[in-house]
Amino acid sequence: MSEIILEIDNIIKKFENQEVIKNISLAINKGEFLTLLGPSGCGKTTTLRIIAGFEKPTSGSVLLEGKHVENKQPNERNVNTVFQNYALFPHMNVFENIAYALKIRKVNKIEIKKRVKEMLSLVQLEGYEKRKIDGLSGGQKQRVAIGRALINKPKILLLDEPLGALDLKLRKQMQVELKKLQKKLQITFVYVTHDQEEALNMSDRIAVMNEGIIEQIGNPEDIYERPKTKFVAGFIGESNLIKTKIKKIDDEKICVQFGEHEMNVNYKNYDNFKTKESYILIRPENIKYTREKPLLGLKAIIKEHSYIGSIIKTTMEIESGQEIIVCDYDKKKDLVGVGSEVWMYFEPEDVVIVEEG
Amino acid sequence: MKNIKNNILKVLTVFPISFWMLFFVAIPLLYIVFISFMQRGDDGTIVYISTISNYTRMARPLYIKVFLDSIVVAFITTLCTLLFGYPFAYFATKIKKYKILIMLLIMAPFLTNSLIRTYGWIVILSTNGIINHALLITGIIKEPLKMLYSYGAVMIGMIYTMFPFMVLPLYNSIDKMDKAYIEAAKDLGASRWKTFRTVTVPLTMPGIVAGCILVFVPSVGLFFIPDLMGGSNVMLIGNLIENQFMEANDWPFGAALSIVMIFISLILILVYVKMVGKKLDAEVF
Amino acid sequence: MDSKLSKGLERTYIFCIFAFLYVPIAIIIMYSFNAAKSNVVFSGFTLDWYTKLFSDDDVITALVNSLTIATFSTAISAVIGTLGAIGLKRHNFKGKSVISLLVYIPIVIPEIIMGVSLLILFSTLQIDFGILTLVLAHTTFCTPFVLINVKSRLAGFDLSIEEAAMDLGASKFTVFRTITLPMIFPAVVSGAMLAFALSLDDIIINIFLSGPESTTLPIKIFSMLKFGLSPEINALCTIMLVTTFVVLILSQGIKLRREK
Repeated sequence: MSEIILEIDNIIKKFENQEVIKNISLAINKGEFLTLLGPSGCGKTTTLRIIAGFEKPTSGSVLLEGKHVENKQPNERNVNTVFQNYALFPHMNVFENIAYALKIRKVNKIEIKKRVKEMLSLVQLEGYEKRKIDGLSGGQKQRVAIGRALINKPKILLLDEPLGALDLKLRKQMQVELKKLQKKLQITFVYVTHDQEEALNMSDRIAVMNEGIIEQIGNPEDIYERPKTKFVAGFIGESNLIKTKIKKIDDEKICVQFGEHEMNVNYKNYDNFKTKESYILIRPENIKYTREKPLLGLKAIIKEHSYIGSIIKTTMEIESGQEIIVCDYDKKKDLVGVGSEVWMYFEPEDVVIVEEG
Repeated sequence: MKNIKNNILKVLTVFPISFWMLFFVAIPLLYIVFISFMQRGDDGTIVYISTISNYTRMARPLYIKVFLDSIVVAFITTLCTLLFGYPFAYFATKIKKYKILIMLLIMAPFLTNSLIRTYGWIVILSTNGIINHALLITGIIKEPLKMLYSYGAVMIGMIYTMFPFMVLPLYNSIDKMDKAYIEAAKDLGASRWKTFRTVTVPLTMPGIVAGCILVFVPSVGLFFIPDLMGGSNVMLIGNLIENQFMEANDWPFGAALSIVMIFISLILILVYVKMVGKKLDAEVF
Repeated sequence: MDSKLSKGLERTYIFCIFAFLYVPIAIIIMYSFNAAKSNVVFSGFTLDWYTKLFSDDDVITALVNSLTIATFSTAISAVIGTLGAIGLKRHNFKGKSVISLLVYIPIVIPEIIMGVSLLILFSTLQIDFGILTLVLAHTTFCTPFVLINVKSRLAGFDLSIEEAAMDLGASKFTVFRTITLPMIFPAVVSGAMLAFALSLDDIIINIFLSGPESTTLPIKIFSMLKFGLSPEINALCTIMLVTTFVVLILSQGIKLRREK
């Protein structure tokens, strides 16, 4: 059972009478990599800033290692931030930027030199001490920002979409490095991003946020395989959401409407399933299609095949008019022509029933 | 505790400027208004009995002439600096190579003592000055031309002194304009002149108006140029006001004249604000 | 080629205008080295007028006065202007729009009005006219220049940098001292240099507010011009021109170096 290092309790945040955060509670474990994931405007950055101390919650509390900090200034918490645009001090060089936190604490010069050197090697920027900030590349600036924030050995490191400005390849590389760094230092990371692939890749747990609330918290597999709400299902990975009615629920199975038939889906232990509007969630990679009618399937017309490099993405339209996306890794298969009628089908065990939320 | 610290910073930054501006700008200006309604005592002091005689006095033809002359001089100065200055600024923005040098050369007269620069013209224009000397020696004229101590000389002096004030905002405004607009107009078939009239001028209007304000307003009040280059032949508002305070010792009348001058300036600034809706500093700095 | 011709015409025009601007200045400089007293005939190169200038007590006093006033005014307006810029940009308070407007007034109204208004103020308060009144007056018209300069620098200021400093442990005062101030410093300096040049060159306000003991250089030149031309003037003017030009280059140099 891991220790809880940060607790957010019923935080509400209003900006000029507009509720940006409607009510959030969250417990973060020591040493974990937790990501706040959501679209722009969902409140994830505001939540981060409340933890850092740049915003005060309208109501609710923030407890760092059990102590209330929601009223403390940013410089009074042992929490450091890596900013979205790095916010490096332009009038100082790399050494001075990283040393800043130590300098204002009046640490002695020899100690500073030693620790900055260690940090530079940790972020793989050895020899960069005297370099000017504006001569650095995006990736290098990123590392300086990380080094600057870590030198104080904070209890929590907050990262606000740190990789947003980097190109794809560099981003993927930095994701790996950041994860390695976190594991090595065993510092709690709270990470904010809108990129769900990034979140799935790096996190121990993900908190999916939408319009000021947390829709679901779980590890990446939970979030992907067992989304609880339509929003989470739609936001994470590609998904097909087919409207359905729930016929029957018992301890092990849910029986739902599927076309003209009924389908039995394994009841995957949802708590408080309130049977609001429901959807069948089936991921594109789990759908197959054929010309002959299968046992349980839906009629569909092929609209388009797209070649995405590693997969073929096929779009088809079912009778209700909804478009279904199917992904196939087998690129050598003969493709059914556009406009042809097919039957799409899938295994019930790949289905998740999802509520409106 | 945090609030007190916050407030100290706020007070520290806001108080000095507020106090200074209120005490040394607002209050003296209000006081001028007040004094303009007072009377002059026999020995040159202020007698605190209210009157509007200072203002009614200005209705006399003598003073009306001074006002009109000043406005005309300021207007002609503005017009000339605009007509000569716009092409200058426009061509200057086209020179990419020595941009820094050009900027420096344009700004230098802006900051150099206008007195000194006026003196240069006196040297050139006076009866034993350079032009007369050259013309006499070559026999073109028999007697030296009296070029100083006339409205003409004053105009040259004013245009010369005010020229950088017009050019600087023009230069900034033209420089900032995205040349893509000109290319778009040409692409759509407009001739050079039409492009200039319908694209360039409207887009640089903020600079034009800023320049006009920066020239017109001080021109109304510049008195040492008419003093040095016009002598007693030229009397403008500025000279009149200076006279009231330094020689004639009629402070109330001088105050009233100042108020009229402020009004003339204010009306123009309001025109600017209406026309463009921006602040001046964006164009000058 | 039409564009070559037009380019040539453009350059010629620019050259003519520059000539118009600088010929009077050039003439003064040239004649400051003229051996003869005349301002027309050039009879030989000499530094006499410069040496005469330096032994002229009146001129030296005026010079010292001008420099003193300029230094004090610049220093005070740098402080008030910088603090004011930060205050106006970052804080809200009652009467903010009034003060913001007042700041522009010294720049935008004719100088004579400023001279007159301060003249009335100081004589009502019965303050003797002299260095003090001049410093107060110069500060009044210099501060807006510093303030506007710093304010426009603050407009492009990335606040997240200050947040980063706070995040790393700096108190608000430390942030101001180690981050904000160093970053706006070039704007403060270039504003201050502008103020210095303006103070040195001011005539109108000086005419109204100086006393018998506190003649400034421009006043000295003015009286020299009115009451009789002596070639020393050329030397004096040349020195002032050169000084202003140097200050200008320095201030622009600083501004440019920062913008790189």
